[in-house]
Amino acid sequence: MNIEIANVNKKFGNFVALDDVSISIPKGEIIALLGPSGCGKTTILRIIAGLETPDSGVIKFFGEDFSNKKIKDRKVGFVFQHYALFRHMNVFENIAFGLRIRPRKIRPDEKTIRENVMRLVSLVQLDNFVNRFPSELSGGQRQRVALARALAVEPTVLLLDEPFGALDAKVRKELRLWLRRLHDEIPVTSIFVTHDQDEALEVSDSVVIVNKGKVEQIGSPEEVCDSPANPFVADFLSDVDELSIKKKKKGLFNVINDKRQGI
Amino acid sequence: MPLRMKKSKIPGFGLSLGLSLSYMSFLILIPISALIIYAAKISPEEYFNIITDARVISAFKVSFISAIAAAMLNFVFGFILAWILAKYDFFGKKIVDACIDLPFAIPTAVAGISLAMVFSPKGFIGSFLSLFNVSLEYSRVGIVVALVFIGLPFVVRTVQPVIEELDNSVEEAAASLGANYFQIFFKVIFPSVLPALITGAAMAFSRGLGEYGSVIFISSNMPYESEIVPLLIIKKLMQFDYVGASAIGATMLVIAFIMLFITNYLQSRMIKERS
Repeated sequence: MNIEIANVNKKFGNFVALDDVSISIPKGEIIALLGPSGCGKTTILRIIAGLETPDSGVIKFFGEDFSNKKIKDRKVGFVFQHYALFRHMNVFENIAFGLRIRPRKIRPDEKTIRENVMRLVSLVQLDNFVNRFPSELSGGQRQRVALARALAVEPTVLLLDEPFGALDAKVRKELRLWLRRLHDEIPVTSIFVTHDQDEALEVSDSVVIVNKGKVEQIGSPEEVCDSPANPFVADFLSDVDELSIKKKKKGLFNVINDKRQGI
Repeated sequence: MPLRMKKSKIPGFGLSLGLSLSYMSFLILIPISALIIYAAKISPEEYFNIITDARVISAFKVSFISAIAAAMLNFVFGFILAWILAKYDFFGKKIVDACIDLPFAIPTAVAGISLAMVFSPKGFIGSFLSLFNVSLEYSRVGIVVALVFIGLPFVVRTVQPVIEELDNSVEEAAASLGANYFQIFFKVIFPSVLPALITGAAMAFSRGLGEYGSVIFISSNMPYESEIVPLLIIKKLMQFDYVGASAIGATMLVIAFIMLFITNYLQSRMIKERS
């Protein structure tokens, strides 16, 4: 197991955000945290990142207890819903940030930084935009910069908080297919939060369905759709587009062909 | 020059431009051009003689050095104050927040008298300082203290809203990339606040340059020593030397305009980089 969170509880005042949550995430998979808004899924993500401390419970990375580790020592890549780019830096500097701030002993030299950044830039298909500032980019482009910036530090886990939430429907669909393909290229363990059922089922290897601070069901997209554990899951997934699961089985390139043929 | 640059979708451009131009003309442009026209009555040599008078030059030095020193102090401490007001909640915050604007509200002469009292050798802070043989009152340092007092709200009130608008997740993103507090502050937060900080300090500087009321009470106003330009102008006026006064005034105007123009230009270039 790569990442494990066990019996985590979190309260905000009197509001119970997480109630005895336990999830284990195998290495190299994409996990979706799916649930209605306010269900606690973002809190889980922020606790894994170290942006939030749980009231009780344990967070383990590779079997090592990380519960008291500071965020900067956790080596997580975090992608925010509203991109959170450094607006006074251009695309290149944004992506290079994580490498440049390393202590001198482990900081790569300028040439290596340049190579790494350029490799990431072409990975996120922004080769012609390295000198642009965030304000000169579209939402989808900004989010790809944010993703490249997170990947630059070679994180052990990639955490994405509603990464497509601020984008329009068309870009959102393109970007999630692209994310899935990207993950096939660099299989870093990824956890992403979403309230969109189709998005969760289409992108992820397994889905964690969360409601009112509790985990309702964990399973592959097929499992949660075919055999929902309880009425809530059944109801929550009732209006899912059956196609989104089929799409994934077929593989991305077939999907793109289907799209061209207008299916 | 075509009067109508480009047809805008929003109506009322002509009216609002006309209104603001005439407003500005009556309030700013006409009085200022009157000053320059008055100063232009004299020949270039005469003007040169007035300006290069040793007393005038030393007054310019005192004014500019104190205004720059005060603006730099406000740059640092105004930023810290704005930071605290924007980021933290503490007991009495509302009162501190309200106090910031006091230098705007009270007559500057009153401010000058109270500062002079507090910093005089018998005053609350002055008696403490005199133990170390430091005398603020009637020295150039006293001028800087008065200008810091006057300029503080300019820095705080321009920077505070910018700090309040900073996106928390940007700091979190930097932390997740491995940045420590020091790096987050100097590489992420400070550069995004800097343009506003420069604007605030430039406003404090220009306000300090023209400040009269508070300074004359705390400064000894010794010619060649601690006499500021506005005071020199007043003295000239009292001696009915209108030409001399307007020559100095016009010079000050031009220098202040150039400095403000440069800071505005620098600031807009910094903003352009990101918008």
